[in-house]
Amino acid sequence: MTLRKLGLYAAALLLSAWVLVPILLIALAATTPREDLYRWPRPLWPERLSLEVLSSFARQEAVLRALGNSLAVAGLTIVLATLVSAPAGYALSRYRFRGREAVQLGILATKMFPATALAVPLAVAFIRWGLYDTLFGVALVHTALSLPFVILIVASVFRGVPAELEEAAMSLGASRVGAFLRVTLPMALPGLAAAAIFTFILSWNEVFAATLLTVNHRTLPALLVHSVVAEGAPLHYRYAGGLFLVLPALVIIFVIRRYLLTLWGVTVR
Amino acid sequence: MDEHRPRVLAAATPYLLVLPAAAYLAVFVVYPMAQAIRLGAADPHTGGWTLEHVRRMASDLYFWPAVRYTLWITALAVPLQVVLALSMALLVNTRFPGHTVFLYVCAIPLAVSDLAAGLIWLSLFTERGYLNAALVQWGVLRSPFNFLSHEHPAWLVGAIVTTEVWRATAIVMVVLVAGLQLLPRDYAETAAVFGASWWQTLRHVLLPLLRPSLQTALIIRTVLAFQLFATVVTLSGRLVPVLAGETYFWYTLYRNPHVASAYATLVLLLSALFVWGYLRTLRPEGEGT
Amino acid sequence: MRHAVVALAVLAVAALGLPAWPGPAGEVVFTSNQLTPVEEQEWARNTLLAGFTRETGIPVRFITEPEGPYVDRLMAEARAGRGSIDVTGTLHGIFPVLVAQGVVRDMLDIQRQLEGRRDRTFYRDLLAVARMEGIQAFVPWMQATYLVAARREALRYFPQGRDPMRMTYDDLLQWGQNIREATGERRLGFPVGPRGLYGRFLHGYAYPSFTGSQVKRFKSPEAVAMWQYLRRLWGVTHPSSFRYEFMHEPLLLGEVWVAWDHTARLLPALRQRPEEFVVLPSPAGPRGRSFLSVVVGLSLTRWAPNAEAGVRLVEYLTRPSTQVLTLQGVGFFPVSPEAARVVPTGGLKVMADGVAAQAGAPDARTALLPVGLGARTGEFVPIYVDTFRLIAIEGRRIEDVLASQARRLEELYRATNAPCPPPDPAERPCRPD
Repeated sequence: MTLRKLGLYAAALLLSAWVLVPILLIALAATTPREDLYRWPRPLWPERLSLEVLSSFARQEAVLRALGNSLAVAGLTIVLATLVSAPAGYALSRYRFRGREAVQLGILATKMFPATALAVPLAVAFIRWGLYDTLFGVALVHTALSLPFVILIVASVFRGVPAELEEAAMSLGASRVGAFLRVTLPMALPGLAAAAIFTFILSWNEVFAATLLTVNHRTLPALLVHSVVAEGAPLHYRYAGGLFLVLPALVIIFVIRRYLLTLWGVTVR
Repeated sequence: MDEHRPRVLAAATPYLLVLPAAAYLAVFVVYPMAQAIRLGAADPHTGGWTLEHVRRMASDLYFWPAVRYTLWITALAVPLQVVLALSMALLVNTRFPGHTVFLYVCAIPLAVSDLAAGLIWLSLFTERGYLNAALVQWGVLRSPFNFLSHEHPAWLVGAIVTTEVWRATAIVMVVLVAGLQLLPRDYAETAAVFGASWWQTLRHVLLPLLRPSLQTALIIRTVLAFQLFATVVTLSGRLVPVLAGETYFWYTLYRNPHVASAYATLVLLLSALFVWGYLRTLRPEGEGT
Repeated sequence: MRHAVVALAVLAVAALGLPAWPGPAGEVVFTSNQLTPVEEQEWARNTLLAGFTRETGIPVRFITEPEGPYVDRLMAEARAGRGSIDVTGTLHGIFPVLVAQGVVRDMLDIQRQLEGRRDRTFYRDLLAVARMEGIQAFVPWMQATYLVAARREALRYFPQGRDPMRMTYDDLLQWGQNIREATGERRLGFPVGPRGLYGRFLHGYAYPSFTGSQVKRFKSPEAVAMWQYLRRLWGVTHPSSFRYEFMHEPLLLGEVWVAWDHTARLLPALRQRPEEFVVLPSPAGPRGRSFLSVVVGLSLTRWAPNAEAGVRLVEYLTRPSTQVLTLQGVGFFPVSPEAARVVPTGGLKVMADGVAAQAGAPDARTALLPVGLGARTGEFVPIYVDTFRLIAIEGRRIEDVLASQARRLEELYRATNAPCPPPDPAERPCRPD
């Protein structure tokens, strides 16, 4: 029993290290003073750390504005995606209707086309519709790009909730809507929350549409990727940009982890 | 309460529920997608249909390598992701003290974009990277080894797959953990009571019950694997071409939206083929047909 | 605090979907695919364009991004027939695409108006480059070239008795071999990555230096000899070169000791450690020391919502004093003789010496980027890079590869009916012999 426990912890430690060490290294690279970064042989642990590059980033007004843009877009995307996907996900999981498979496949098929090739037709359409260079426009596209997966997850979540419970509630006199609201929805909430993070992350990390559909209203990753990461900036800037992309990930997942686990605690048993 | 409603409405309910999503996707994806697909098959001068762009794509130097590498990377990365994610999910499911922290740690890459992941692993793999710094310091190597060299395409693919596994295992894991949490615990307990070994329980009880989650995870990962290119370009330039990368290059480097769209259409078809395969082979039990 | 409130309010309005263009009254929107690195962007906003705003009171919104999204944005606005961009500044090699898609207007009247101010003239050869399909596609803004930067310590491996300032292609190969023999490592580097500029080395440097031609002698016996040379050169080139896109990074890291690249892509290394590097002219071959001159031009979009302020911005950016500022700030060289008399310092001095040595060499030959390929301009360079990949990396038979790639080149020129780029005679359509 103890041996099993030891093995458990060893495996957990190993897997944690696999995930954490690369993140630690990019943090290290981003805080190593630039002269040390270009030195070779490079000491594994730099003698001093410097926040110079990182703070020069954070001081830029454009960065803060872009951060606001990102949060607004991601928030809007979550709301839109949840509203549109929940009914569809429910329908796909609960009803056996003609063409169900085709609908499912059709929804997924929209995700199979590289976003690169969608960009120009979309930009043209958005200029015509007056959505070009608005945060709302970016959120619309992010919703579209994330919807297929969100619907899939939501459907899978609803499927995990036994239909018998809903039927039982209805046989006890609840309406279909009432049964859904009082039985199915609470049990499905953790999964729905997972779908929401997933949406948030897809929106946060989506750079292509965000760059092409905006001029003045850049999201933070779009700003970073195109000014720092992709276009041959000096190494120390690229690492700092990389860390900036990763940092919110740490925070967001941390915040949501609590929320998710509480919900899961409710569902289990 | 259904009997109080007209039958037609009841039959229409699922369609009405799906309608908002379908309409949304039609406007924001299908419409531009149709335009793009048309670009891939339209003659730029006459506007008529032509196979010219497809022919150019197929005769391009990078075409067959791109097909091959895309399939290879998918075939290597996706199973590794599933196995690793399943191990993580089962570990979480033992609810050992500290499993919440472990879950958090494993979920972090979920929020890391492919570009950031490429950058992170680039800082490890270059000649002057952390991996070489460590190996030289610890005396494993006398001088830095070129992991990213045109002479060792296998190493390059290895670096790409490593990065992909690191980044994308998290999403599979989250889906699987969510799936495991939704399973009634007594199945596994009953199996254990009847003397089933851990492995038998996993193979014959847990995995079949996890099928819906596994299917979701597999589909997501495979479709995304076909879209992969930021990581690949960061680590290997164009030495390891991939289909989504070629779409991007034809668009941005050659400025030829026609061939780019032909590539995009090919990615669409390949993904559709794989997803169809999964849907057929991993259909959850008890769903009739 | 008030800023935050205002920002939130703006955010809320923007989030509700109100279109953000046209910008505030009088604002100029200026896009470019130049000055993209973050340090250059900061300089452009806080120094270069801030000066314009101080002088005229007109705010400038400067958007700089990689070529792909940069051109896509212009195309999208061109197709919609309206948009927010007033002024755009990019490489002369991209202008054919913009002209073909009706993005930019004829700048001839503006150029005449500028020269009429009598404080500036533009180099005639640069103006000639700007003529495309019957219009003056741009006003020259700044220029650059490509050459070799090397660590000083690498000079001791330079072939004995030879002069680095008069380097030949054989010297370069011998240099790489000497380094490899002495250290066991390959320390030559080229930007062969997908967004690297190695293709320019092939068609603008190696080809004219070895064959005296960019296109016509594509598969000549001299070209075969050149590819044999390039294959050997690749053997002493750093094996990660396929990944490099900006050579300052591997130079600073020490992965590479001798690198060929665009001046702007070498300059960060020179600025950071001017005393550690030297800049050398590109090598000379049997047919001379060919090099490319890169021109960055400014143009107004056809739909410019604020054209008048746009013209004033173009005037400011091409003013000789601004050109000097640009040289000192980001290392792009002047396009007017009036601005070219200023002597720089530091890393820029190292670079300027190399540029002068390259342009002033007795065997120097200027090659120009191909023109007339219109919307298919982007297909020219990949033909050369693909040829390189097939011959040097995949080791295919040179004659076969050249024959099949020459067919692609011929098809491209036949379809566009474009003339040969110098030093080839300007016959059209250009055709590899």
